[in-house]
Amino acid sequence: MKKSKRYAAALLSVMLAVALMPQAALGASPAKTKQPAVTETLRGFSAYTATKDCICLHWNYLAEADGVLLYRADSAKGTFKRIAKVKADPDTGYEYHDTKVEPGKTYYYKARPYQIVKGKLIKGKLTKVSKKKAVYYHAATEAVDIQQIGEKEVVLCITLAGPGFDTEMFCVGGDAAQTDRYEELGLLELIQSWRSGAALEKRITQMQIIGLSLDGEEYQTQGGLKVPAGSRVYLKAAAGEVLALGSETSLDWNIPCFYHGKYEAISSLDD
Amino acid sequence: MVLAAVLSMALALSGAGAAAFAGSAFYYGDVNPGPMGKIAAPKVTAETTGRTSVQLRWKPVKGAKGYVVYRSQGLFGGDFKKVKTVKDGGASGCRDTKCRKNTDYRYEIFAFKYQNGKRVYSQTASVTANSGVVKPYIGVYPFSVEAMDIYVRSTGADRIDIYRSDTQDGPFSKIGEAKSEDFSWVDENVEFAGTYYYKARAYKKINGKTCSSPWSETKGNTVYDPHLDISVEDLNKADVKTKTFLYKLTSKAANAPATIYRDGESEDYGKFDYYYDGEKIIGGSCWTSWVKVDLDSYSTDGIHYEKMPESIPLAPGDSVWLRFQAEDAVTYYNSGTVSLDIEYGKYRVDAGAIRFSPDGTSYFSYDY
Repeated sequence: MKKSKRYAAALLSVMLAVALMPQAALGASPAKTKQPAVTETLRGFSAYTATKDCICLHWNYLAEADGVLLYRADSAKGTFKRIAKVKADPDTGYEYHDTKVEPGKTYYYKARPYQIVKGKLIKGKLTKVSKKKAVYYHAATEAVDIQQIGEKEVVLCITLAGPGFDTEMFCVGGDAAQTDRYEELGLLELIQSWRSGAALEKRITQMQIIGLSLDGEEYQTQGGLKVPAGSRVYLKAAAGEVLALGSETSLDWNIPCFYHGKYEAISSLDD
Repeated sequence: MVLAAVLSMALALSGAGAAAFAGSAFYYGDVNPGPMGKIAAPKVTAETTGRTSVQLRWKPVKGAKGYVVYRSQGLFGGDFKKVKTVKDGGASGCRDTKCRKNTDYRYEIFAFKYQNGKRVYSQTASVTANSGVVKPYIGVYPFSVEAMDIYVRSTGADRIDIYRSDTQDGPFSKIGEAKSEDFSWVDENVEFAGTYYYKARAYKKINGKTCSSPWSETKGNTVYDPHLDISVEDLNKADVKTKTFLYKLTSKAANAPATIYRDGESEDYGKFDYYYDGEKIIGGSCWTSWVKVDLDSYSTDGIHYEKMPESIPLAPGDSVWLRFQAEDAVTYYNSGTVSLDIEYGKYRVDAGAIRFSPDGTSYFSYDY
């Protein structure tokens, strides 16, 4: 009887010792079957748009990750350095704006999800490279000056933002095929606003672009004009009714155009 | 057996396995039983088995070690509470015997298994059910100038009987039966401007026996044209600056009594301010003006104005003059809207508006 009790006590102590041993020491299945912390890679990772001083990175939200690590290099085969750690958040955790860029320079990006396991950061698989140049991917302006030159006419002097791509503007007598498809090409929208306390009045005038010029002297009156990024363009427009610029509290404008092969608009309302 | 129990306890304590699924995970519905693992969700059906019980059935999930059942009162979920843990992966259902009488429920059921000593759950299986026979909801709405629309709903019911009376306290007599859980009954045996009261009772077979629900609430309404028709006369001068906006509203004779409110409030948008919003188009130019206005005063004869109280009635066939006031002047354009909140019959409509145009077709509309 005594012998069997002693035997049972010894067996129990062995069982407890085994049970409290670290997992790795057991050498059994848990260590071998341990799954990676993040089982999926990031999907849809890309540097999708940019300006001269910002490149925007985007990826699909990954619920299983605690966040995303972002890396950047100056060339595809260069050294990728970590530039950010973005915490997972269903609302905001799938976008990053890299503002430490030099205008005109191309950057290469990779990303990987991470997970915090018992206080330790476990990294997931790296994505493929996505590259982007720090230039304007959407039409933008640096400066605009508007002058009324007749009862119904204005001239806009626009300095386009750069570095970037050509902006193509059109006169009303422009390319028939394109003006059929994009009815607003060749038109300028001028928005005068008068605000007084809680009252707001507006006049939105559709004007026809009747001349385009790179020097403000010789105007072309037909077709499109490609204006390089960073340069200046003069645009002459006419309204159907008499204009009276100057009394408004704010003056805005909107010009449909082509930029980087896409139908867009340059507008003061984007500022 | 003892060894297995001690081992599993020790594994749980050391946290092995938990690490692999420690990240954030998202579940359907409002219930989060714990970390999610690779295990299929059960396919669940539900059946009423008594006044206070519901039977849930599912096909056993491969690899499952058990199931957890959460319950929320009502059909749309919300405050879920765990009501059962079935520690048998081969189980094909369970019975919830602790229901309230005649009540709708939503259940969320998760299969679970153990992964590295840690319990992990499937995605949810969601099912609605009811104990007993649910008290019907009843809504009574004017359908036309000679019919009333009675909407009844009792989830899970086989039949709902509808009763009517000329007075709130009865006597009620049965006018029809809806052979579904959700039905709109048009009562054409009514007279214009008459007031009628309705109530309903639902029936359902439970274990082969037909059981009835408690009576619904009694709801009444008056027969009138359900489409509020108010014509508007624009009494303002176009193209001049103004701080005052004046309109004459006339309710058509077939309308029900309406109520005009000084302040805007709608179920969808909550409180809202009134605005004048006008425009004029000349050639290629569009002129607009916009200003916040208050419903300042009203008149019943167009001559004598009184300060607008919280609300005023507008009887069928009657007219009322409304004066709105802005703090700052704007140019008046006679095409546009002024927001206005009108309650029609027994129902306060969503943010509405007076719509005016130079062609004289001005009217009140429910949509701003």
